[in-house]
Amino acid sequence: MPYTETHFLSFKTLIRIRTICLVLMSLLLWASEDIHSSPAVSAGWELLFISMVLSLVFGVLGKTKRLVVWLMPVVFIVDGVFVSLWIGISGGPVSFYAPFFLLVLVHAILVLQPRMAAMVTVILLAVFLGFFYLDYVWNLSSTFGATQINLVSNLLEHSPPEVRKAMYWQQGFRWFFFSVLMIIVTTIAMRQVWMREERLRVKERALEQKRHLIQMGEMTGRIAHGINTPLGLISGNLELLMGTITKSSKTYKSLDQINEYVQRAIRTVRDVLDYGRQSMSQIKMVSLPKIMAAVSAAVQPKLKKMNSHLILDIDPKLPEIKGYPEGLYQTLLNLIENAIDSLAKGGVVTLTAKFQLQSMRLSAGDHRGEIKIVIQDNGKGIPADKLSRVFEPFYTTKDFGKGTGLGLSIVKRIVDEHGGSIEVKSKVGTGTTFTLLFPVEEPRVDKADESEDFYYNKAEKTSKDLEL
Amino acid sequence: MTKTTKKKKKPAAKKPSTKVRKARLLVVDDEADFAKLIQTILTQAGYGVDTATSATQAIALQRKTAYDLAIVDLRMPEMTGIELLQYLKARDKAIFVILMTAYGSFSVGIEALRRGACDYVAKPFKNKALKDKVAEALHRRQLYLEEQHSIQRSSIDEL
Repeated sequence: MPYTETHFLSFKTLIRIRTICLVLMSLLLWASEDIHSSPAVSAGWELLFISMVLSLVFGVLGKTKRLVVWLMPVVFIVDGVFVSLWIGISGGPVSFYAPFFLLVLVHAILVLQPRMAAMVTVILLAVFLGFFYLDYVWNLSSTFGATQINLVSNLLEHSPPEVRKAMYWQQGFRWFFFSVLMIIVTTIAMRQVWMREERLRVKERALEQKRHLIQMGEMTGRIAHGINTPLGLISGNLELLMGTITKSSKTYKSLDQINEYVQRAIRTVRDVLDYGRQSMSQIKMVSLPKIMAAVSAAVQPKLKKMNSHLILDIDPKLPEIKGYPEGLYQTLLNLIENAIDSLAKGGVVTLTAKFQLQSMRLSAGDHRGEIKIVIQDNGKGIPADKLSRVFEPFYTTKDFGKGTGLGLSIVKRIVDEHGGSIEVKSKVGTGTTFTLLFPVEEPRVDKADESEDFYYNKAEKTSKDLEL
Repeated sequence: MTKTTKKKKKPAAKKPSTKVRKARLLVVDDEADFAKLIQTILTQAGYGVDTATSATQAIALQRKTAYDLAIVDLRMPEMTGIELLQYLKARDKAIFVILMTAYGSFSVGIEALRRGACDYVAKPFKNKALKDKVAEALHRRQLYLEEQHSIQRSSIDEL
């Protein structure tokens, strides 16, 4: 997002400041009667109108709409062009409109992402200097009678051409360096503020999370103690009891059934606790290929038993993601085990993992992306009426007693916790496909990427050469 | 009904049989029934088992008998299992301790081992798993005692 909300300036405040500025500008425009009739003024009015409409659009849409995100830089450029033109008309860089130009720039720096702000700044400076040059060449200020507005221009007007030229250059350079200095200083200052706020926010979040985890730990601990102790007592005594009865008797069969149910309850509790525990583990940078290798190793015995195959197609250069290693391991293991369970003998499960750039990208240097993991099987599939319910807790399609039904709901929660998404598509008889997307917060290292691009370009080139 | 009669029968059967050298075990759990259950399981396996339902009771029992192995619940009202473990170990270096936890996370296990427990079991457990763990712990204790003995020997020899 090119728009960054700072704590001290909310989006609404920014819009208000902007509107006030525009009104002020229009008042000034209206007040300077002597230049009312010029063509530049009518152009100025048009730009002002566009600017105001954009401001209105902003206010109505709010900052979240994609349109606003893209319009923001455009709006600043329109503003800047308008102000520059006005400065040009009203007596060059020495005009008292000139500070408005800086206002636009500072505004842009405050509101936009640094990279975007830099782009806007460069464009506006070019426009500003361009107008200044035009003013010098065509003498706009005097053409439109700006001399009466600005004393300095007035002075310039009556100087000999050489002096005029020298003074313009002097003024121009003064303004140019002043602007650049202002921009640099503001950027550095704002960055500091941003970083401090970001750090504060991260700290706060971590603290809150810690508190949450402690609470959760206490709760799960209490639940564990409260449930596991009776369960242990029941299962232990059952086993003792079963040891004293002959296996063929009816009582033994009943006890065996009870035991089966107790074991199921124990499994369920363990699943829930496993989930609680994974949330209590620390967030780390996780390498997915490593986790996938571990999962693949873990399911090998099962695969052999079923005479099935797991095909891995993992990009070894997958960037690391922030997350819970245990949770991610559990997630992938669960999905792959489910896939294997659905297979007929000799079936195939494929696990594909790739890095892809997010569809919305702001500039070539922006490497925000996501990891796409696809787990596909050619098993029996899930009927459509059950497909919508697979992520519900305690919903299971497996035979009674085989699964607790907690698996996919836990999987979903773990994926959600990583800011990711999970989707399932299935056709009876054809198989099931789970698609997981995990956002990659950290941008990829530019250098590596460049070298990669370089490599690819080279490869492309050579292949082309070969074709020729 | 059957359960309780069984439990009562077994400890009674245990007491008179003091043959060669029976391993003496102490089970500490604030849940009296659970302690009894473990007592039954382990008595069947041929150990001499006493139970305590609190840390103070356990300490009092240790004063009277030198136990080979203690099986201690982690969560108890007066003292945590780890505290009791350290107390027992301070009084008798040769006592081995297995910690029981109802919240059997891996990190609790590691913590228990670091504090001097020889093993840990997660509740609920299979009876066989408990028996195996107890047997293994006692075996390790035996090795430990032999080692201590040989060290003593060698130091005496040196003199």
